[in-house]
Amino acid sequence: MPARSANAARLTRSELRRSLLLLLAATVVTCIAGALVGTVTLDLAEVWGVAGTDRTIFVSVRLPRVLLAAIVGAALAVAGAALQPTLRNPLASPDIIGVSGGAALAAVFALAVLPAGYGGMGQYLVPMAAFVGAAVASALVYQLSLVHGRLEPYTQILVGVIFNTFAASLILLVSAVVDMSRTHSIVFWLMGGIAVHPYPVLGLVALLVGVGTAVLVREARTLDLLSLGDETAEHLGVDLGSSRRRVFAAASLMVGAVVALTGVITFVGLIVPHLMRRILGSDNRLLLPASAFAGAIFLVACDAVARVAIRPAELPVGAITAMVGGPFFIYLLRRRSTAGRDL
Amino acid sequence: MRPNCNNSFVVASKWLGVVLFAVAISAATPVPTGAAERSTGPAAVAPAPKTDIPEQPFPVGPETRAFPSSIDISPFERLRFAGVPERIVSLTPGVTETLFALGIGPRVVGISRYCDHPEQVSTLPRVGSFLSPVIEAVIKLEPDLVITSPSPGNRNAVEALERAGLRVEVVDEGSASLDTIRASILTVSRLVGRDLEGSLLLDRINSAVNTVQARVSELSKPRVAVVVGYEPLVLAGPSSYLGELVRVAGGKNVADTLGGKWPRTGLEFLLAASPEILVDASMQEFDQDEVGTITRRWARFPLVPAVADGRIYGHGGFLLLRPGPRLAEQALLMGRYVHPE
Repeated sequence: MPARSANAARLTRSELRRSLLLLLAATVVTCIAGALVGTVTLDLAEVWGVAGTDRTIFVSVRLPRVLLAAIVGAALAVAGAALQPTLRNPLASPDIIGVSGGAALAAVFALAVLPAGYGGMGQYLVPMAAFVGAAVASALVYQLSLVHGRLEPYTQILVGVIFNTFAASLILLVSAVVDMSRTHSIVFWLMGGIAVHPYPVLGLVALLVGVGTAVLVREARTLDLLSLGDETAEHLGVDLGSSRRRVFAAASLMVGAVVALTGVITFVGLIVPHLMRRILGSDNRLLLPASAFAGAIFLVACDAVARVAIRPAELPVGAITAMVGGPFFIYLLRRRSTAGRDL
Repeated sequence: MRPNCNNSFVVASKWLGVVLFAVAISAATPVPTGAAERSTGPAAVAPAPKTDIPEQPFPVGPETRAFPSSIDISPFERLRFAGVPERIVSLTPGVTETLFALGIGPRVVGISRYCDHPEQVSTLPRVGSFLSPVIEAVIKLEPDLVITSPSPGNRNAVEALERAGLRVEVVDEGSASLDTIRASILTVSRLVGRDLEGSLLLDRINSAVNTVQARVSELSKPRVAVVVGYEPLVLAGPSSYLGELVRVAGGKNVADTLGGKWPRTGLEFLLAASPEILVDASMQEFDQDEVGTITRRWARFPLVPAVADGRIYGHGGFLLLRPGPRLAEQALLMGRYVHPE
């Protein structure tokens, strides 16, 4: 993309700031709009006024759900945006580095054996198991992807894909032997969805995602240089090994944290970065934070659709993201191939 | 390139039948300990004035109370009204049925999508299922009691409802045996301050069950298979209420050798067991011609005695799939299946 790269090169600091402020504003507007629609039509006067049912619904259900959707969308999209150049593969997304497979496998094990305890920390046993699963899986994929002590992108993609397939087969196995009344909890978890969590938990996840995003944005320059090829990048002074390691660790941390709470939500981390790259060019200083905002907007919007499409029931948000994302991704691919361009 | 996504779908579709059944009999719950403590422990029923109620003459309830009182309001009544929920959301078919059987149907303000009995529930708002209640919709109904089933998948929903200030009680529907169903009915009756009606309901159930049992005690014990999932094939095992109903009705459950609650097995096992009576309760959608559909399904195995003799039965409009207060009807139905004479 020579024209775009030239454009990106001319991106000044004030332009960067202006674009990001615009996206931030759009994110805030989407979140407000998302918080205003839902299963129940809220009386706004009551929400702002006296304490009542509508206010309770808004404060303890609607708002935490919208905020979680924003955090999750941002985390998945920014992780995808950083992984695509790092692994030098347009199909790279948070789902293929093994993190979500490991999280899903651990969550399914937990759902298969844990008693249905209520109260206390009981509700976080499954998310905690999923987070540990994600951490173990990313460590494993990382170790298996080292070739002569270096992280090898192609190996890593293959290992990630194979690990996910392996995890999926173990999930099938667990579902097959576990008592039937647990099977539907498992399938339900695997569908992925934005649940309602208390604010301290949202704060913790936001913190992890914030740290991860900061690490990735700091790597933006290196990611730009990676598009020139490994050798050129190294000649320009990039420490490829440690850079890939940092990206991988930050992405795993963020994705692990959000997947633990929501289950596997596909396509956000794949199509949002592609869309933003098409609109804004591939300057990663802009692309990474822009993807975070756009991911938040996309998932908040998808979750709003999931909540209102078949009121009063709800759709799994993963179905909406895949329904929108699948055709859109094919469209992007077709446009790209007819234009004869590479990533 | 997206194996995770694809395989989740494989999992989902492969086990959909199983899941539908599991959901159909609601929580089903082999789920041990924590939940049981919560549902049956004394703490769970603290607000209900359970010790005083048996002294009250039947019928109870403010509308029909027969005994005149010289004072405006007795201490007993105050207790009763302080603790008795007025707006109940039930997320489990069995609990919904129990509430109606206890005579407090009018206090039920919301139900799950699977609640289909009694007829009055058809007009009530539906707020999802025990596994994924639509939290906003539940809160909007302003219930003072929400009853759901224990499940490892609904912890988060239960906690979210409690954070919104609702009282949520987790009651095991009791699909393991007739006794667990009885315990569930008692728990619900205590939660809503209707202990007496609860024990009367149990008396009625017990006498019906005893009648069926007495009628078949001298008769032969034909081999019975209860199919609860067709693909994959799942039978009602000895530690399920359906397995116990087969015993009550004087049948020999072919799944006894498999053990467990809902054992999965293959067609070969079923054919080798050569059941004389086949109860196929795996139909998930309402079907006018339920028995006809099931009979056609099994017609390709003419050597199975049940098929040859035309002794194939369905779940009777989901009756068999609803562990709850219709235990008496279930026992009678199973009795007719096993010993029509």
